[in-house]
Amino acid sequence: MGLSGLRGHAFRRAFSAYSYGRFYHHLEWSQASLQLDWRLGALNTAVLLTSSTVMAFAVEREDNRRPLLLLCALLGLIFLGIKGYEWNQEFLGKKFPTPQFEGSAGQRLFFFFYFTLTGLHAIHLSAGLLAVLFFARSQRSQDEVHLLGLYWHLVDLLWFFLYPLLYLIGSRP
Amino acid sequence: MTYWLIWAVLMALLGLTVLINHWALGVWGTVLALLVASTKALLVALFYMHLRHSSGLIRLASGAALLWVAVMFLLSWADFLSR
Repeated sequence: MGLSGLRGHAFRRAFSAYSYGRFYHHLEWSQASLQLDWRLGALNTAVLLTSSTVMAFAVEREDNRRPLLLLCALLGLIFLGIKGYEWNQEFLGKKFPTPQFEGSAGQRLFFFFYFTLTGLHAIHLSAGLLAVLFFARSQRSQDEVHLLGLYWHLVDLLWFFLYPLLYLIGSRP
Repeated sequence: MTYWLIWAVLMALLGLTVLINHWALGVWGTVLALLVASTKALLVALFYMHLRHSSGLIRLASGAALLWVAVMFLLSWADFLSR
């Protein structure tokens, strides 16, 4: 619980700054957001919430959690793979917020937040992924697996908010 | 099994999030999308994170975290808007 609170702390500040940026650059942010692929974002949301379901089953199990933990890790890896593909596309499209960025200053600010928030999320997911693999290797107590589950669900929860806040600002009628 | 049922509801809510975006509701689209995201978060917290069967103290601690987030947003915005 304490760890979850601590991690929430980093994201809370980022979300607060995000709301400020979006308030002052609303139009440019919706144009920038339309450049993201909402299908890949939705697919990744589905992958992550499925991994959370698998994790919930793994936590509940008394013994032989290994196959479920490995499946959970695999889904986490798929998420990172899709995210990496998206980042690569955005790098190639000169969307990384450097002086070479193609677009207005407001749009550049959006992509700054996009890379910061998705990057911060991916770092947390990678840490969780390593922990899941570590837990799959050896026998762990119920309490330890429960804590691992709480962390994994928290990373999933954050993505529930990141998806609409980053991918779905501008509408696509 | 309860967990599969929750999974189905979460997937349906994801579909709803995408639909809301296609309805072009402007600011209200964001409000609705955040409400849906909060519902999803609540489901995960209650069922997957076992908050439903947790003691009052643990529930109070998780609620306090949300209150703390609200206080922090309020403080930041009180600063921005009064400049």
